[in-house]
Amino acid sequence: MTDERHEPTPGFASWYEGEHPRLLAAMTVAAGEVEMAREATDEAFVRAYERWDTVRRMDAPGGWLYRVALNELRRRHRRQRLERELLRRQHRPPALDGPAPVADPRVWHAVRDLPRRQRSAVALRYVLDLTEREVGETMGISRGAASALLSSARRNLERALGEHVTDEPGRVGIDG
Amino acid sequence: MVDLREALRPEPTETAPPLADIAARARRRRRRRHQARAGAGALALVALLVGYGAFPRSSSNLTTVADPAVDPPTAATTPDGSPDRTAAPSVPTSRPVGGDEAPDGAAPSAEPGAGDADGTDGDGERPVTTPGIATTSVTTSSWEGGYCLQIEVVNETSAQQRWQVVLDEGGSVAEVWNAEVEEVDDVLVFTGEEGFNPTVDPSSSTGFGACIDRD
Repeated sequence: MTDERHEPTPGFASWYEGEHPRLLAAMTVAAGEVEMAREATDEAFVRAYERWDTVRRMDAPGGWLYRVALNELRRRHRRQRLERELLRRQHRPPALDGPAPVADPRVWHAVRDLPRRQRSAVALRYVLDLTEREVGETMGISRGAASALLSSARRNLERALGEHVTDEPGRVGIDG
Repeated sequence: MVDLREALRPEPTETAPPLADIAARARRRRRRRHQARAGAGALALVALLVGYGAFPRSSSNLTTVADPAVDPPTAATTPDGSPDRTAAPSVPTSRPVGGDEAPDGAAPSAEPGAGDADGTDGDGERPVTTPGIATTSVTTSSWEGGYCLQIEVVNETSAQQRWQVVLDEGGSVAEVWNAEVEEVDDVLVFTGEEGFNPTVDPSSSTGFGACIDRD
């Protein structure tokens, strides 16, 4: 474990600029809130920065990044549950909601009510535009399971919104 | 008809934090890992629990616990439970271990968390355990690169205590909540958050958590 210097690394800056907004948007939907999404997003980039030599050589650095960010989110969710539990016991109200961070506030609220995994799948599929196969890979589940998760999510959203929800095929995949 | 791609478009679009921030965080973490490696104790966390500076007042300082509705009868060692900050008549039975001169947290040597987030000011001052304060800790999650702990701090004495928990961990703190942490020598020193849980009332408890990045 000799020390690899991580000086500002070739290619990182432009990758960061391109991916950060995308990832943040996706994590916002996956988290159902902005603050935690920011933390998970930044954390994923810090890790990418630390291991840039490895990450940049991957076939799909984006895929790696999304996985790390989702894991990070899961960790934080778990922690938040504990924290909430503690706050409840001690009568501190959780932080209040801000305005919806996406274009359609109705959809935002409906998405927030989805179970966590459905929310993650929706974020990967509709914000990051991954294919169902890629959604599965990123979440560590089969393509079929990802597909099922997404259709439950759409069903739930349709019920909540009272409207039909479209699913055109993703245009881009991981890393273009 | 709802187009999810359209509906979930971020708004407003946020700008990424400067790259320098990310780089700085990465470097800081690396540095801490190097430091931590020197004293690598494993997950076997030794929670030497310490109270210092027992407070000569009654139950008031934990705002949250002052609410009688929240705290079940177990906390009833204080005579009245009045949420009143005025000096309490009852004198703590156990004296503080460390500097007790300034009850309002001004004793700098006894309070490594005060003021300075980064530097380890003065390395002496190993906290001494106070009998009567106990901790239980649960590993709430663990993964290849680290783990998270939730630690409960129980005051078994009859006096309010400022609490401090020392963990001997090999790794660096990625996250901490409901406590402040400082790395002193090779150990992690946790103290309560001012304004939230700096002290723990007699016969009650508070808790905090931390996630540790293993190397």
